[in-house]
Amino acid sequence: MTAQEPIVSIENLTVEYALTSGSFTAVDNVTLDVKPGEILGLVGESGAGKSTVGSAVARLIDFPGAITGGRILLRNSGDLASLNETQMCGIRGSDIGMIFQDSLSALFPVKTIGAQLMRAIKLSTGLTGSAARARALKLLEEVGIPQPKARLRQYPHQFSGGMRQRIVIAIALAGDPQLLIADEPTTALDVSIQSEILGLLKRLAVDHGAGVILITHDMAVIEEITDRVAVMRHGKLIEHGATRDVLARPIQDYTKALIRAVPRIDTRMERFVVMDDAPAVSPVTRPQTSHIQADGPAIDATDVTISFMVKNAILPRNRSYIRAADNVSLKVPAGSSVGIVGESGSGKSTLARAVCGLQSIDSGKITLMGHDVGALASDPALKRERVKAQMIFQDPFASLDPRQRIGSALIEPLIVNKMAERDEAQDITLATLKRVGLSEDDANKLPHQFSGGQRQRICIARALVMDPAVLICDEPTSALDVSVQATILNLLKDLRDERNLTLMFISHDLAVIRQVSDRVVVMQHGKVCEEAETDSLFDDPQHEYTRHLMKMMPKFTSGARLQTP
Amino acid sequence: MALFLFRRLLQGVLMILVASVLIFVGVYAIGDPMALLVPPDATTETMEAARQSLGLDRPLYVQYFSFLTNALQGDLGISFVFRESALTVIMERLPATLELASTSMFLAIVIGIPFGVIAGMKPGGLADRALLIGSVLGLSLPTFWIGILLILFFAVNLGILPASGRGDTVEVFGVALSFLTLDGLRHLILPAFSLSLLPMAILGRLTRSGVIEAMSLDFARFARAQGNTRAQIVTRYVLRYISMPLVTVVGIYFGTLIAFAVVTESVFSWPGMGKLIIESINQLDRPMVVAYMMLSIVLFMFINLMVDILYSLLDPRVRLK
Repeated sequence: MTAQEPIVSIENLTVEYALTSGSFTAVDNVTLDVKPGEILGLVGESGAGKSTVGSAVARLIDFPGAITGGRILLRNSGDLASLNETQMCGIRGSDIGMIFQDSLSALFPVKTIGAQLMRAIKLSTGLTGSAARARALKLLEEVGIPQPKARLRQYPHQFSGGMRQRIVIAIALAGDPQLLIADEPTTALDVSIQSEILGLLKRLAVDHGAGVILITHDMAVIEEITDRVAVMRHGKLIEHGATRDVLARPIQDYTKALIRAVPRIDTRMERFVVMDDAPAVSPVTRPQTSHIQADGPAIDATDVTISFMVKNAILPRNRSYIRAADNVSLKVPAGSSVGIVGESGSGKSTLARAVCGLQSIDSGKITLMGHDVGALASDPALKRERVKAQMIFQDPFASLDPRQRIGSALIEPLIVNKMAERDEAQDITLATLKRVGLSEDDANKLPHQFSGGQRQRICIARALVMDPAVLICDEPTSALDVSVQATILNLLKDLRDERNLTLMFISHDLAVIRQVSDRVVVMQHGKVCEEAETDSLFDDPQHEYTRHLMKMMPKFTSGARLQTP
Repeated sequence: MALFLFRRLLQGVLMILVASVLIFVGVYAIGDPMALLVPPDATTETMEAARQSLGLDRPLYVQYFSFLTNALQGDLGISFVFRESALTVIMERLPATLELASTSMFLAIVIGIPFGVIAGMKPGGLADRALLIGSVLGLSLPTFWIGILLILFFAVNLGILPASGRGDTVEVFGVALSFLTLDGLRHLILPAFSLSLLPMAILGRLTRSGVIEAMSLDFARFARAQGNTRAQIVTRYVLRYISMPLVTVVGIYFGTLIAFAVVTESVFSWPGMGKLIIESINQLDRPMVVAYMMLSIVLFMFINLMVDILYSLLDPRVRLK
């Protein structure tokens, strides 16, 4: 692939968004090209402008944004930046195919996938009727949808996430485009499906001779399938070259830091190296009196079964249920940390909710610090014990009231549970905010004034003010950038040592799990597959499913060579 | 679906039963119909005889159960005033009201929704601003006032449209309809337009905000990435997507138009149910009022059921349960 003409050449692209005063430069003078059969990775953290580059190439930047400089030369089509909307409608779909992150919202919910696929085929190739149908079947087969004939008549919600993403890819391929732009195509998917989708993309790039721009925040994905990589930050291109070279011998400090922040599955790090301008974790200011631990485990679940009804009917025998937890037993010693890992639908979050008493159980027993969780929920005398388990959720945007000031959000649980007077609660709140790396002034701000990482710190602070013994974290870093994830994981580690917290850490990410837990529980379809000490589980997995998960997980090994800066 | 329909019908029957008790007892508490039914110079004996012949001397619950038994057989009582079956009297007037309400709803849909789409496709544009201002007028100006203005302008000043009545009608399957004759249409247009302003304003605003929201969603972006033009996205995707809230509002307002067309019917002397019920209330014609209210409840229930079924047809994700 040396002398091939590039499919697309982006020259000095600049995209600006008009603000009430001045403008914001989302993409700043970026020059890139993609050759046939090549996968170019665009990597960077949120706000880096990588998605904006993808949208700009397809001219999907809408007011108030605009391409204010540069050219986008598409093979055989000239400069896209100079075309009008009508001309672009002929290019999109036919020459440029796009794949989005969230397949459920990208597909139209109330039309069959056959109708959507045939519409895309009609737009890009002009085929209709039985010819379009034949092509739709061929496309579905190519992306690996079994029984394509029957599947054509189904609606998006009847497919799993991985299948839906395949359909999105099939639609993007409808016009056999020369350029595919995939924006975080596997971020919402489980690891084993991610691996399949990445393999599919790679194969399609080669088979169709198409160029692929793969936009992602995930270094492991970049390492796995891209030929070249471009690192972006604050709208600028930081570094650009063959993937192997950039990952092995990064030149820029930012690239080095980004690579180091990725949690690794092959080893456990004591602390993550955090990026220079990421907020530093303040040192231990106020050693908390650790909980006087009762003997025995902090969390003790025995034979817990939880089912949900998925189909109701007049006759009980026609009803169907799904087991979110099936005879699950789990002991977590006080002061230790357990990681629960599994793919979506494995029941890991349901189990966490049950431990907190947020989810009623059908049979079995859960005790928390020696108290039965069922009794904790109903007995007012045990109110103080109930709050000993606190939860941190995945989405820090959704778990804060957008109209409540941070100070008030943190004081509220203390007042509601009569754990402190207002003045005292105020002091606890401010001290806790400082502990998680925020300032006292932040108490008067509203959630939207914070970044995702800061919001997750606030959520941690909100759990900490209750002086919990058990902290249950449900995917606390999945929505965050790697550098932010590193600081949050460091903070959780420090807090655990400092307060002798028992940690229950739920994640789909094996690498993250390895960094934070003493023991690991692997769950699948509501059942516990394997439970072992972290290192022995990673070094010598016993259960077939655990081995499968590890095999599928993209391994990011480049970081190993960079550990000592 | 079968389970859903079964449950909804059962709920509906229960609801109608409860409502019938409330209505019966409530209406019983209003005045003594005897004063109206017998001549003012009647003796006490005559009044008692009349009371007995009408069954009004029996205890309340006995009256209720005989009412219920009759109602189940389709007999909602004999109007005190018209001396014939209350249901028959109402049914004679029902087509006029249904015709007025349907025409109003039709106008509201064919004017309100396209206007909302045009406004929503270009927020801040001329159509958008016109819609936002116009809809405030539609929402806040009282119907009777608009009705009077329409009469003043079109009937009195210009003299091109009639001010009252229903005009010529055509019998279709035994039902009198006026929209099939030119004269009937001329009579229908003013009351229907004045009644349609409120749902038109609401549908317009709802469509506008729905289009603005849906155009920014992922499926609209994905549709654009496939090469659809903006107009194609609106007609093929967005309208279908926002049809659910629109159907809900159309359902609610259709019921409201039927049940509360009273004002418009009075202003335009439209011979519908609304006018009839006002007269019946004034004359303490109990069976009429009860029959009217029962009929309204059944109508509302029917419309709601239709909306729910439409939901499941429009959106395959909705599983009726």
